[in-house]
Amino acid sequence: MLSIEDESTFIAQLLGGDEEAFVRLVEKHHDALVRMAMIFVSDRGAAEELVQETWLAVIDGLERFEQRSSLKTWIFAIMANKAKKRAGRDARTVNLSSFAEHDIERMLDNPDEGRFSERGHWSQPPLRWRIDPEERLHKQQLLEVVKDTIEELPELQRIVITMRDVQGFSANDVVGVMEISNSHQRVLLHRARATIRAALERHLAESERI
Amino acid sequence: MLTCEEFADKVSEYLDGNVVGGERLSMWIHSAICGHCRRYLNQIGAVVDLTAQLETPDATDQERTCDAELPEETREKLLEAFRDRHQRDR
Repeated sequence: MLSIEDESTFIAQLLGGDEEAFVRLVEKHHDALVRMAMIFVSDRGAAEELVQETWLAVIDGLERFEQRSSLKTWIFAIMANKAKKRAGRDARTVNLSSFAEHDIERMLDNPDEGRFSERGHWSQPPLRWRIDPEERLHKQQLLEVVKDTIEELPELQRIVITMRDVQGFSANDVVGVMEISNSHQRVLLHRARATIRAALERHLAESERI
Repeated sequence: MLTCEEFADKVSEYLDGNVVGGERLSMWIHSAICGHCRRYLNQIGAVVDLTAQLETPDATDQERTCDAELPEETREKLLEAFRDRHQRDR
């Protein structure tokens, strides 16, 4: 993580027109931005477009950046806001302004539903996993399961777990970028992780029979 | 006293270090005495570890020395826009 001073210096270079610094910045984040944009739009072309627009906005807006968050967070927030504005023009785009009802339904989808008795004890406790951490092929399979499960998650859960656990953004970053409450993003994250756990459990329970 | 369901509900928060004080102690005690919940906790921990490994090179903020997937055309276009912006200031 860049220290605040290092980041201030870097920003000063950018504001001074340092082209090398700018190219370094773009190269550093472009790939991750495109991957994250793919969460909002349906194809890579549209994602690349969205990210280019983002960079242009970064060029224009940098002098107004107050460093209240990291530069990276700010750039990603610009992209998320542009993605929101595209709502309606692209079938797969999340309409973030009206996610409320859709999301409440999803929130009721508890991956651990039915596993507890009325008194809150486990009626269906978690199964033991047979994992050989040395076996590389096995680990690759597990990563595939995780990846596939994430792709099937409800939109908001997918966005939150990608930002938090894949990209390493903080809870505050997610709250800032997605404009949802802290408690909301907590629930989404937990649901996403619990869904992945359940998927891994099914995978590992099946493998045991082989 | 925490029920297992309550424990499971808070597990993510606990792993992320966001449960503190008496509540954290309750969680810790519960996981010490309840094998099911301890297993659940470890499994969610495994999920977090695995998910983190899906991240590609951008995981750290170290500078990348190679040209990732930035198309040449995009790079030139953005560089031009950057130059334009800073010519205006002069």
